Amino acid sequence: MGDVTLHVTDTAVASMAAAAARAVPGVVVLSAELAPDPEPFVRVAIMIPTGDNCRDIAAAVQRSVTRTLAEQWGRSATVEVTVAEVALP
Amino acid sequence: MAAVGDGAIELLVCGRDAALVWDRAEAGRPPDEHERSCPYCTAAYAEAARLDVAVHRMAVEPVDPPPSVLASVMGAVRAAPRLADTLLLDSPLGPNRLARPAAAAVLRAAVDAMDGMRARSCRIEQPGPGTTADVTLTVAARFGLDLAGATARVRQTVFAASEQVLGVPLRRVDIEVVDLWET
Amino acid sequence: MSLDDLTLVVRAQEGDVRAFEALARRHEAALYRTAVRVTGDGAEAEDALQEALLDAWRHLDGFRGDAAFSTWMYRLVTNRCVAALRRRRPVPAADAGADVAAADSPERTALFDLELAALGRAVQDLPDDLRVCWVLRELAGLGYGDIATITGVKETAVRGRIHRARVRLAGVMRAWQQ
Repeated sequence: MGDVTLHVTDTAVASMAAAAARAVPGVVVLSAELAPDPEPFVRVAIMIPTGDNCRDIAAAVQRSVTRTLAEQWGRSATVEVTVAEVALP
Repeated sequence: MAAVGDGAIELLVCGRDAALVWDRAEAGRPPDEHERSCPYCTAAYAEAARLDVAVHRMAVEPVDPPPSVLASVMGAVRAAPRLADTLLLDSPLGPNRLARPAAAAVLRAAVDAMDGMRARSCRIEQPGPGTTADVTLTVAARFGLDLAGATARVRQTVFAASEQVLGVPLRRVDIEVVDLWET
Repeated sequence: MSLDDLTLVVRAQEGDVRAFEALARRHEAALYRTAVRVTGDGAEAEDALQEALLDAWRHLDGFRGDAAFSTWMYRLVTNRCVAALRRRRPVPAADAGADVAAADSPERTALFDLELAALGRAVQDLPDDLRVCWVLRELAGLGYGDIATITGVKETAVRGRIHRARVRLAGVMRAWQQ
């Protein structure tokens, strides 16, 4: 059997990232983008519910996205999460 | 756009400034001694009063905008969030970001929840290195409040909110009481 | 919690969207009423209000707080209304105001009130510059100084226009009543 080349479009990677972000409870994903060059850089913008710690949630999303991309895409990407809004009571 | 005759003063036959007479009649002020006995002023008063009845009814007639206008405006406002203006959040996988207006809203809400205090301006700066921030707040306080005690409590509240809700450690919180309000 | 205008403005200037919405909600009815009476057209008034609110959001930094926020908003709405009036094809004076009960005009709701309908026509028949000042004074209840700020016209000229408007309207209503 010859070599298999996996090609995943930028949009598909962004969708993977968005799904991984949504897996963190309470997170609403506003956008997910991939800048593929020179090193993969993924930006995810989220909204989080009342009362949760922004730093901790952002880190949890970052971990989830990084792990998912490594597993499903096979590449290690730098992930940056932006908390755009915090739901207020 | 200056129109012809803009600055001209119109006089009643008795010599009084017509605009002033109409103004006073409109304001419901009673005629003075001259106006009571002068047929021109009396006529002007009567004209103004008659018109005023209908004008007042027009002024109180409710005319409300359809909700679609505000909905459309807020849709446009929310569609373009200022994501470029961010603070840094610590993380072992590299720094994340927090929109500054969102952070400021959290700290303001914490201040608003305190009795007698309402936050106005809330500026958060991270002078670096690291994510530790300085906060500068202006507040309006209820008249009669013990300002020293309340300011100290606000400081505590802001420190706590920034640590617990934002995850941004604070170095200093400066509070300025800029206004007072009465209940 | 009900916050004063200045607090809401400062917050909105710092990006607080909810504060801006609270401001808009607080002032929109008065601004809309003014736009309807100045343009005589519900649809144009809606456009003027919408554009003015967006102008406010985009140019909040330009509001210095030296005048009341409401005065600033009146200026934005009045500018939009005047622009709309200038865009219209000139209508012969005899026809102006003939369209009394346009579908979304306030006159339609006042059809049972003939006097208000007559006054409404008379207001629309006023020349634009007189009508703008008169509406801001008589219906929005603003002071001469504020109207001068809003229209960019000197206060003495504002007084003159309002007086000429009143005299005209009084004449029309007197004739109508007879």
